[in-house]
Amino acid sequence: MTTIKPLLITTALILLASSAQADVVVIANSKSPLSNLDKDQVADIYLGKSTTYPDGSAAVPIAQVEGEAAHQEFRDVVIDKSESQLKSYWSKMVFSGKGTPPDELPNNAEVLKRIGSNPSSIGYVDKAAVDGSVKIIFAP
Amino acid sequence: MYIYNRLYSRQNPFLEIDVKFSPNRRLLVPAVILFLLLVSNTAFCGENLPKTGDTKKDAGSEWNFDSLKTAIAERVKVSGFLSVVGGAVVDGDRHTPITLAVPNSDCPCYVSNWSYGGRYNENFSIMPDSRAGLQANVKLTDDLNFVGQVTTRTRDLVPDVQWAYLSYKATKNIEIQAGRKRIPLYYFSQFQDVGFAYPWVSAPTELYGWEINNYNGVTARYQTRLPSFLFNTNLTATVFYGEDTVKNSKYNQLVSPESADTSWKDLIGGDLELTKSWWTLRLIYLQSRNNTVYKESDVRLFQNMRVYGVAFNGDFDDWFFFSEATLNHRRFTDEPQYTVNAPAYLGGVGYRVGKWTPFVSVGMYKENSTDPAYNLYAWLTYSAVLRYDLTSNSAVKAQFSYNDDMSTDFTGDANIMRVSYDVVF
Repeated sequence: MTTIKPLLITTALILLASSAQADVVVIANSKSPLSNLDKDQVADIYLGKSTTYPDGSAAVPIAQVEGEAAHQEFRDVVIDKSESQLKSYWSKMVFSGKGTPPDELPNNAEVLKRIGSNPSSIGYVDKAAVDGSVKIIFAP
Repeated sequence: MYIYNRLYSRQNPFLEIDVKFSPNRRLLVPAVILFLLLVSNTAFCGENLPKTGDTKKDAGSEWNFDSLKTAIAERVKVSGFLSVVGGAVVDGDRHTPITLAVPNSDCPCYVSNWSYGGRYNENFSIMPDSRAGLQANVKLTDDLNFVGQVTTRTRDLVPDVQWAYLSYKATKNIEIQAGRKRIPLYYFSQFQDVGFAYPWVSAPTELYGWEINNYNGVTARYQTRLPSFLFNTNLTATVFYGEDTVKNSKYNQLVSPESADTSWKDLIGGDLELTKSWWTLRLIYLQSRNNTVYKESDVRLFQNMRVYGVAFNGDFDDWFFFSEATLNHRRFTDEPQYTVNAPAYLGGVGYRVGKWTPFVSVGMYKENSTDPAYNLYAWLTYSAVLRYDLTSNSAVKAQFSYNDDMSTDFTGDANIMRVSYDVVF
């Protein structure tokens, strides 16, 4: 019993860690003219540093709310800031009148719905949630 | 940060004067508050509204109002910030003789906010630095936006309009803005009230805090991403023109016994910001014709001001640093003419460890003048700050500063301890 307990805990922790790990991808509407973006381009669009896509059309990034697995991974891997740093960054932008943060939707399904009906938006979701209405334009 | 004290160098009294607003501001303030209340109400209600389809048809007027509310909620973003700062001078030393005009009776003291006259003495107080602000970003059309911000402070509870401008997106790279904006004098100027967005409990006085913070005028802003042979650097350039007047300047109350109105007119300038991955470089130039009118004696001081500044900041995963050097040059144009140069420097470095961010900084402000009779102000401040992020949008900080008064005697040397609670929403 004494040897099994730590083993169980370790296994549970590994399972928890892997289930919290989402494979996040950036998506656009399947009819969007956008092809692949690189990590810097995605980050610049999500931080309001670029307001357009590479073809010059207006960028409309869609985010997910704090706490969603896709949001957490996107923030860690693509934006490379903690939640608090990200809020601090946006407070600096908002209160200098330089921009407003992307609209936030509550989950993968809502993002897919929005992107599926809006050719000018991009969003990020769990890879597993991707359906035919959208295409992947960046995978970290 | 003083530059006018020459007239009053041998006097000490301090007058507390009620702030009176000019008529146009008196109207503007309630108008903006009403507007913000209206939009915040509609914005917050927006999420719970029924979908257009399932609304009762019989309540016709209600239906219209609700859809109007929904439309507003989609177009209006309301944000706010609050910083409660408390502190005291814990230890200090007076020089002798006392020659300058800051209210001396309770010094050694520490001036923490020149623009609003915030000042600490040995009694703990939340009065000098605490402030709050409310902002609305309104999307009027795809290309036309309104930004409005009012702030209020424990020092001066009357709400103050900091921002109120229309921004028109003329091309994908160019925005034309008209209205009231913050003068982008230094790197942190545009968000100098938002404690959550920077490491200190308030913006460091070696640079921040002159008589005038904002301007009414026009601004053109150009933003682009440079081509790959310039490393895809993000570039933002602005040019601006405007003016502002502050009645019974609180700034002036710190250094003179007499109430004064200050204007910065024909303010014209530009800044350039380059940013790429970990670094940001910013250059600024501006000039203006300044005019300070002492109301009882009717003494008028005219100055031509020029400001040059450069900032270079870096932000890595854990480490970050700020550095900024500026020169404020003023030529007093009445005979006998003289100039005052005020170079100022600021540097700081911090390290993020999870929710903790220790940070240290040093800053200096040092005047020189062609007039030997001019009282030169100068000080050097070392600060150590520890920040702890309570949630993703709130933090507490503790800041210890040592302020070395290098002038004859203005505030005296002081050790200052301050704590703050900062939140944004």
